[in-house]
Amino acid sequence: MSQTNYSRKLTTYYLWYTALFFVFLISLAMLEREGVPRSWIGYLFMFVTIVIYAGIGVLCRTSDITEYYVAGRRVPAVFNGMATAADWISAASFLSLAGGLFLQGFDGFAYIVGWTGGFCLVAMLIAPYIRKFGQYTIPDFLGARFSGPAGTNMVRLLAVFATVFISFIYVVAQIYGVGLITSRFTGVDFSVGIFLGLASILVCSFLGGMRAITWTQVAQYIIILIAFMIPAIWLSIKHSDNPVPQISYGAFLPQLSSLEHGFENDPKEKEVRAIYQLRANEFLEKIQHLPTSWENGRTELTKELEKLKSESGNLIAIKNASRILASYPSTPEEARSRWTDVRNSYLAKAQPGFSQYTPYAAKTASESDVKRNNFIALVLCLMMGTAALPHVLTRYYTTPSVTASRDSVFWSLFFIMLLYITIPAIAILIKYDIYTSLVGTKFSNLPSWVTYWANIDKLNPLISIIDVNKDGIVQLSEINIDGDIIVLATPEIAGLPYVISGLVAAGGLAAALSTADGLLLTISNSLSHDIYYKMVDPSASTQKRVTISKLFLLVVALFAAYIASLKPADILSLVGAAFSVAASTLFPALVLGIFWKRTNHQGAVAGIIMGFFVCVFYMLYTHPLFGGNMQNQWWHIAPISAGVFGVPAGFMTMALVSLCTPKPDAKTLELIDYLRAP
Amino acid sequence: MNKKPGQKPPHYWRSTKRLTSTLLLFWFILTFGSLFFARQLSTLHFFSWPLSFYMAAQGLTLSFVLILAVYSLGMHWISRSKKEGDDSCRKQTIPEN
Repeated sequence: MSQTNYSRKLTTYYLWYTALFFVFLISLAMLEREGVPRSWIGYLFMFVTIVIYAGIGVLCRTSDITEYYVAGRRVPAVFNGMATAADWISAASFLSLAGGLFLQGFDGFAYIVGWTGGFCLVAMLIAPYIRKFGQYTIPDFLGARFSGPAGTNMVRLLAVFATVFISFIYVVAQIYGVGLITSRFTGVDFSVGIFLGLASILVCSFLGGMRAITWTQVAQYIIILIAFMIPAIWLSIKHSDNPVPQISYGAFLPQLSSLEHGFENDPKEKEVRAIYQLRANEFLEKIQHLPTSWENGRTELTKELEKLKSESGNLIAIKNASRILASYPSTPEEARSRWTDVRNSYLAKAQPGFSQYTPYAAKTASESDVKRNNFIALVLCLMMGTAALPHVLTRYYTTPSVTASRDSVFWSLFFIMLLYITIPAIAILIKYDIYTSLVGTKFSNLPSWVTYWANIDKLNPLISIIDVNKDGIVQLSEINIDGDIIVLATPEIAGLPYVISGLVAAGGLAAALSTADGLLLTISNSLSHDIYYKMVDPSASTQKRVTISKLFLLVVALFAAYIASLKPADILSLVGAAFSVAASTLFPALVLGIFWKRTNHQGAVAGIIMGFFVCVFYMLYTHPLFGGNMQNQWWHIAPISAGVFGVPAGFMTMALVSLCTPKPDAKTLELIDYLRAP
Repeated sequence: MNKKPGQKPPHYWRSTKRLTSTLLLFWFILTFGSLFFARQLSTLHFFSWPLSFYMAAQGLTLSFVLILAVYSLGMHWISRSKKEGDDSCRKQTIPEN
């Protein structure tokens, strides 16, 4: 069959590609040995991988509508699986997940379970039916299934709104990740980094749409996998004789437990924790004496600055003092909130940590129950959110058949699993490395990676080790690591050559770029196909539709890059929330649309709106960032898991309103029968 | 794929629904059972891992892959038995009403 031949040809291509990539890696390693400076290796990595992605984009350029929207529907299941895995593995999965496990232990597993378990829902409830429907976008599917009386397009419009809303939040975070990685590894400015990454995204998706993105994502997946495995295998060999990190890390759990037990009772550690307690108390006093304490603090700083200026003329000291004064809280209210935060962080550090290997560890049984409920709620939201993320679901339009789409979800999860079962191994092995080689060293010979990462961002250091009790030796309580650098710093912590650090950065870049590609195309396709073609100008030629889609892509990409360059803290913290929103708005409509014939247009409209509002209301009501209050939480469920309220609200409203309004017409019933047939 | 929808035997959809609901039930019990009772399970061990730690870190992910493998193979089997002849399929099913 031609499909088998096609698969075989693709396999050959990608095997060659992988081999050449290894050759590239080895030659860079040789260059490093010859003494080529670090920054050059960083540049080469960024440049070569971006050129590869752009090159695939140029090779796959197309203006054919089926090629542009759904890659011609002939992507073999295995390759679509790889592409979906790259589409799915975002900057957060690649960079932050291992760090999250490193810092939070068991609680961080919610992301691993939720993000993989969601694919069971995708495979069994949604993907094959979407493929059978065989059009172009997710709003397309919902719009056709829930077409209103006299052909109104209300559901399509709502679905486009949800798709754009979810994908946009997500894409801003990816572009932000691109900027972060390029700026850290090549030293270019953050916004320059963003626009460099953007150029590669645009060359790829602008020229070839889904077709180019698919083959780029396969290439990116290969780099992501190599970049993740090499440091993990190295760490595993370094600490045990077993080269399979996914298995070998288990042996370290008992050792880590006993090490942590030792830290809890170590007199030096206790000393450091006592100092933190003292500082927390000082801040409490300052908070209690507001606003006088705030005024005193400011006059003191001003006086000190004046004194420095008049006396020594030491420029560095003056600069430092004025910086401290500039960042001093501007009002007593601001001082109260900032000092409370500082006090809480000291209080947290003053306590010995809970065991990270016991599930839901907490002081009391009821607190532990709250932790368990939040864990399960988060897992549920991430699962249902995964099953409703438009950029993942559209990928299943691209397989040659319904059966292939089922196999393809299996392959997606298989390729994601390869990475995800390595994440706990990296977290545990790095922890073991830090406990045994960093804790207890002298401050005079800290390893070079600590100084390197501490100097990247001086205002908010990514890692800081301060000799709190002035004994000249590093204690565990004196180390502060930002979870996001764990993966990026792994090669250096493990003592690997710099080439591997470059490789890991290239892997992180591939993860962010591949996800951004898929998201941008999803946004521009639903705007051009569902809004422009289906609602504004149904007589548009296919040529015009592709052109319009490319135009939207350009505008959305530039706008997202602009937003990302502002470093919006609130949008970045919204990414987790995007899953809850996706679950509450799209999941009930997708599932009921396929599995319950009675669901009708009115039900879908009411359900989508209700799900969205319940979810967003809960977030606004309980998240301090949006002026909400933690006290308002229902059953102590965190705002990120708002979906556990939004999804049932959506399902129930959809069912009730459907039952109170007329049955769907014969044409719709026929469509459902068609979807359910093989 | 170009056949009209009315001609499909309902057998296919019934078997699909049966397989889907069985696997989803298994998926649900496994996931939420091992998470809800994680504290109780942590006294058990799987090699050097506490059982609940292993399930959350790797065990559930591996089970999800297995569930999808069973689903894919099962659906292949259902489609094939449908193709072999609608008569043989009808015999196995309960007549409607």
